[in-house]
Amino acid sequence: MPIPAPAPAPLALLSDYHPVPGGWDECLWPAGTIRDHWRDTLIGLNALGHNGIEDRWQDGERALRDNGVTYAIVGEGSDGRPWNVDRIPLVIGEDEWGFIQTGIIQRARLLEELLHDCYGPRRLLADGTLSPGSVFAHPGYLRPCLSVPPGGGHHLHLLAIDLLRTENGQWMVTNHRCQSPTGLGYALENRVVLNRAFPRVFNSSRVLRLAGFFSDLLQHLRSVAPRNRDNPRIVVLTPPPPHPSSFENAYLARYLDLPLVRGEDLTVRSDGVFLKTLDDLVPVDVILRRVDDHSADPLELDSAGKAGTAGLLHAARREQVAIVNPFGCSLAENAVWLGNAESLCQRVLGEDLTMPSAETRWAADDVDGLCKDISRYVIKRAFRVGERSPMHGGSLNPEQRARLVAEIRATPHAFVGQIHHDASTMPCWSPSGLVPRPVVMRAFAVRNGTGWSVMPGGLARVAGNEKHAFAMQRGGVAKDLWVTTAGTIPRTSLLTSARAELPVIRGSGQVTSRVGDHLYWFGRYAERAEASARLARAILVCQESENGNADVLLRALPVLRRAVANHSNRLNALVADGNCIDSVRQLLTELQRTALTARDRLSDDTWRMVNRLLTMVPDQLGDGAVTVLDDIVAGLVSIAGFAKENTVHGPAWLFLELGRRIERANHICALVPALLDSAGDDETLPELLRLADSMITYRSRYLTHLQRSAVLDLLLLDPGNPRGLRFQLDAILTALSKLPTGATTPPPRASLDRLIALFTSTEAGAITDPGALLADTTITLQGLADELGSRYLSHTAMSRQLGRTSEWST
Amino acid sequence: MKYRINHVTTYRYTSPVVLSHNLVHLALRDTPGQRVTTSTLTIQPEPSSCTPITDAFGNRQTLFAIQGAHRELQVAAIGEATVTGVTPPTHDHPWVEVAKRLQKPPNAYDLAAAEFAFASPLCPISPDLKKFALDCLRKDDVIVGATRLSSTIHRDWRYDPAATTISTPVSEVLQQRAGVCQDFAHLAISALRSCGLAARYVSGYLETDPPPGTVKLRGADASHAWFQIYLPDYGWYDLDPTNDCHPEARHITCAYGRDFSDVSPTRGLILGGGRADISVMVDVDRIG
Repeated sequence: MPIPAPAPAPLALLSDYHPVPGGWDECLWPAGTIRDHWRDTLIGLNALGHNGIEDRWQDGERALRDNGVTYAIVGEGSDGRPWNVDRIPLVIGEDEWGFIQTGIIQRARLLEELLHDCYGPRRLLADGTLSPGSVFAHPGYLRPCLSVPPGGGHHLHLLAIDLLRTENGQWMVTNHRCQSPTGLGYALENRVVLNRAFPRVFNSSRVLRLAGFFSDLLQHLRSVAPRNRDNPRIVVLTPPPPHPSSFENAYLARYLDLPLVRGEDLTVRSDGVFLKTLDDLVPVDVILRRVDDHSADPLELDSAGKAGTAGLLHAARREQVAIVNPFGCSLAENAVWLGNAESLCQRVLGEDLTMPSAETRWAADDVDGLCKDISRYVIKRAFRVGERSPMHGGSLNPEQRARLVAEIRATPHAFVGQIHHDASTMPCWSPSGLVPRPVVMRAFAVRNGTGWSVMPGGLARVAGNEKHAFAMQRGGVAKDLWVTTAGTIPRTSLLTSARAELPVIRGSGQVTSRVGDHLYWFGRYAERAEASARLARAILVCQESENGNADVLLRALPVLRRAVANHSNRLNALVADGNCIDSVRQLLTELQRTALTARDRLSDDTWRMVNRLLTMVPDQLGDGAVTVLDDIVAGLVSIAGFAKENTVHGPAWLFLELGRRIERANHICALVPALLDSAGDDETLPELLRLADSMITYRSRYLTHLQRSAVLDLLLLDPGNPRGLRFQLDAILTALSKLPTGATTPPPRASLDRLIALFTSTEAGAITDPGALLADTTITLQGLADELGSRYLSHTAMSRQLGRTSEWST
Repeated sequence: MKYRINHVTTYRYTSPVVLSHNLVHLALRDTPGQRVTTSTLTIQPEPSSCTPITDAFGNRQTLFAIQGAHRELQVAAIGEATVTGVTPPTHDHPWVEVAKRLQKPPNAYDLAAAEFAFASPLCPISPDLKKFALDCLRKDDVIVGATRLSSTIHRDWRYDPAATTISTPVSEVLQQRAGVCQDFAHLAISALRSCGLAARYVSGYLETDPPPGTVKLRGADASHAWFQIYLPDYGWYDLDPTNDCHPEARHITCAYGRDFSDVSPTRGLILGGGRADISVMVDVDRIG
């Protein structure tokens, strides 16, 4: 331990910061002086001052909101609550980090040996080193994996451990996370946010960069490919949303520049794994899996597994694909092994354990002892199944305690008790100044060519208002973790680590059928939301100017937006009502949902705008609604612009384009008869032109002279009006002709050709009743959309379980 | 006795299936009381890949996939085996001591058995199941106690195919006192494991006699299930709660596992296919 430095001038930032006496504080010595490795950071933050930090933070928070960072809580829909990051990072000096680094690597080596033995010779079971129950009772001991060689020759490639520092300064491990440890993406995101908010403080604190770790991860993923080592196809396998880690997986995949796929995007053919793209099946060599192993193959593992692909395990068995981490390694998320780490390390590695585990007792060893002393323990599942929160024996009421004891006694193998330690505290931001809060952290390691790389950083968390509640689901707050150095900072970026020359690739890579589907709907929702917003704005403007057309529009509303009809306040239902599926709010929510699933296909600007739009929608329609709707329409128009100008016009874009054009065409087909019929005269022509955003074009041609046939010509027949129907039909035809042709072919264009010919030969003056023509158009487009779906998007269908067996007895 | 088992599963789909992945446990296995002489598996249409694998419990399973549109899939397994049964044990142990011994297995046999002493996907352990088991085991030896438990199920549980489905949990079978052979095996296994004993699931067949004066119908037999209890220094002892007997020469073993989920005869996933009709024809013939 370094000697406390002489007291420097006190920092205003810390003037009201008083750690709990007797506890360990990360930043202050007991005497109140600042620990060395915190000094630069605190001086930097102090120089910004309270208000300076507030101001700079607005930037960081905007980055967070714009990137849509949420920790979706299962069961609460896909929107979740915002990821909460504290302004003050956890700072750890390089020397001390070295200790943690050694500790996690030793554990990685130990767990690898244990997994290797359990899925192989079982010597440690035979000689009594491992208790049979710690293996056989573990639901993660997947028997089918016994005949599967682990990908890349190792059972563990990526490991996380949870740590805390006790009141006497000792680091202790509280969990092993061995499947697909969450937090990698969030650690990156937190870093981006803090770096954006406090770039000067970040630089003066000499913080080690995270990029080297991710470069090692990528390098390692390449190296485990069973074939195509030079240029293997690597995918990130994510569970279907809503899932707590949906966002971070998307973020991680984007950062690593790897395709993000779900189980249904993959298919196993001839024992190899393939990615289903719009026109072809593309072989996959390596899967970075972010799904739990038991749910990853409904054929051989849990048959209810929805996140998986049938045949995946067998493909790994035939060494056609490497899966990281290999299936079956959740066995190492074993609190019994955690508790016995010291003796296991001695017996298996012949070494002393460098970083201890928190004292953890297995109920199966001494159920009476544990139950008697239950108030001293945090009760956890011995074998991590599901995300059940630990229970603090000491904070239960007698009734809860009795229930827990009964549960432990019924299935003692399933429980451990971990001695509770008060975690060390660190400064956290509050409006009134810094306050001490207990902090825990997660550290990550990945294999590299020679051993293991440890991320110089990680995910730190402080408890929210609820004691012991570090979990994000329970209101915990994230912290960036800064490992600082006195030496030089090696600079790595993912770009420099890639091989020197990349082959030139045109287009935008493979598009999975599922992403095609989502982009199609993204296009439709964006267009529909814009049309709804224009409609609402037109009604409000008419009402404000006491224009009689307001009533005409309100009467037409249920025809144009059927869902609105069931609501008493139709205008509010059209904009703000979350219970109306046609409201701007709901359409924007759907837009955000489809954007999330196709996140890696949309530009950052699009994504930011999608997130911002939803925050603009008022809870209730009120004063200033027109301005708000102006902004929403402008935002949607800019999304359309981003899509047109900032996206490669490849297959992915074509689906977005088709969705948008089909929706716009449908809207015109509904709009024209709804307004013209209900009025019976030409009073509504200005509104019709405004709703179709064609007023300027009309005026430039006809000045103020409004005539029905001229309006119909512009809206329906003119191929040059991008808001007109004919333009949409031409655009749909163009997109169809560019669709990929491989295993699938575009829908026949005959019906569309006929329609376009009909529009070409029609004269506006001859249209007395546009209804028939427009109904014909609607039906034709519907048929086309169905064809499109069944041809390109249908192999998004999930495979399903066959019935099992019949059986009876004599 | 020598038997021939003919087990034919046919799937018919209302619309074409483009891809199907299957896992079958249909081959008979060697056991201390049974020697397999012939084992064939015929799949129509021709699989695009087919791999025989010895699973974690020594059973012979086959993984196969069919690519290309098909409206029908037929899996025919033919197995021949000589069944002698095993010599019954000459000793027995108090069950409490057996349970204790399985916690720290002194030898490789006990260790292997300990794998079957814990909860598994379809066989949970619980205080209710333990209570049921204790009523049957009393303070007796393990074979005596397990035999009483098997007989109790036979006596107090109604055989009723309508009472349960493939997904009815053991806790419900315990409450409603009805089910089929698979439920009875799972119930016995769960109860015995709740007391720390090792019990495993057996999937197989049973030779049946036609009603007196009639000719045996073709294809009318079925797969069957029972369980085994572990006795140290002896091995596994078969018990059939459905028929209240200790299986000897008329039970033909297909596979062992912790429960049905380890050894389900046929399991598959398909892409496409509309509605699927499944028919299963089983013949158990004595051939010597």
